[in-house]
Amino acid sequence: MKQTVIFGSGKRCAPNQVQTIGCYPVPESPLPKDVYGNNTDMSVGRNLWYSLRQRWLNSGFIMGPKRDMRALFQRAAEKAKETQRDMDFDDGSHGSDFMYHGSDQALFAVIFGEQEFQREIMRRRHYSIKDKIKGQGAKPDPTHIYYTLVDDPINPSFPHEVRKAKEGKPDEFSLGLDYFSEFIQQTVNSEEDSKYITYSDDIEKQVSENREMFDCPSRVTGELPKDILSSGNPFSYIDTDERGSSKDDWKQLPLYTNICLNKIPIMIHHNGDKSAREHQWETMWVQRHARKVVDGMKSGDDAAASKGGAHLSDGKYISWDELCPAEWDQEIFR
Amino acid sequence: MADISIDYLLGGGSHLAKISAVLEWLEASNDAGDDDLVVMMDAYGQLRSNGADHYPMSLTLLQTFGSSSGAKFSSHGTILSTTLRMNVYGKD
Repeated sequence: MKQTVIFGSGKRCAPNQVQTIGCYPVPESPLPKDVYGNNTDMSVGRNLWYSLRQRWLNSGFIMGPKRDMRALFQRAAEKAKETQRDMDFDDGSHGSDFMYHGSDQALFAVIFGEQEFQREIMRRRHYSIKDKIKGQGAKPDPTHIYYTLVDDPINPSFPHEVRKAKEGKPDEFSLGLDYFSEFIQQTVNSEEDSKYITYSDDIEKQVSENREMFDCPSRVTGELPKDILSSGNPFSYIDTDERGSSKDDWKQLPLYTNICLNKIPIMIHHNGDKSAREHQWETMWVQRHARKVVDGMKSGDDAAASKGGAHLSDGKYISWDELCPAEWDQEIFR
Repeated sequence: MADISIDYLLGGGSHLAKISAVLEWLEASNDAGDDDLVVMMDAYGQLRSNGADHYPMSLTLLQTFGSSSGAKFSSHGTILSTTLRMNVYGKD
């Protein structure tokens, strides 16, 4: 059993309804139980969901080996074909009609929920005698989905969409979630969990700005992760006088950081305040130098490189200038 | 789904197009091997053919991957095939 296909993670099982297979079998979040201090997983917070730990699939980001991605998308396409107006587990609101009105995230949540349901079946089938003696293995600890008790993740006490145990290793698509925002940060109900931090400046001062009573304590250590430090010099496309050693360069740049988890995600998914796509655009460090970076890419001498363009499946090449016509320059190179 | 009016669907059916369009690429494309990493994400306008919509994504990736990562963009810039960060997957 592997996790080779990684989705983003978020704080709500959405749009799926709690009593459905997309939600109730999903395991507890692995994030620290005190990530928001004493209000973790409580309804007290900046809103009802702000103090919840990331636990739920978000399909704004999906990454995996092509082989496994193909199997997943084939299943998703099958699910889409099976979709009907009246889903038999709706809560009466008809919110789930047409698989939640054609939500790709709802489909992927169902595939993930089915996988986790069967994984729990398999776990119970195979747990060791040693576990049994220790009193473990019968059931995982109860969890809550927004304050609703899930006493058993394959058969909760409340009315729910029933699934049957299957033999063998069914419904397994090697799906896992980016719980710790190492790849991507969902901003919805999380905007205040993250800040742009320049690591060579006073970190404490930066993280302590605008904190409210329910916000997470900062876990920022000031150390940059090895994968960033070993990444290429961020200014390598730019004039030599702006270069330094690559380690120092990264510390001098504003890096979007989840301060609750001390992680610097590669990407930001603005699914909360969508206007942030515009007003934070200039905050990303590369924007200051975007024109030079792009010019550097375009004039690169590596024959295999895309030079800012893209290679299509049919072998055709599209240049940067075709992909991104000059009329967009004003918006991009602000 | 063929008989369902797109009026009922989010984004005029764009969410489901995300599944069908990507599956088409995954089944047909030869420009990435089966072990290559495929990355997809919702960016401006989701999978529209206008390349400008994908600029924010590719530049954001560049932001932390840096220039020596070997990252290779292909197919509208929506697909990234690279060996980056394979270490996160572990052995099992």
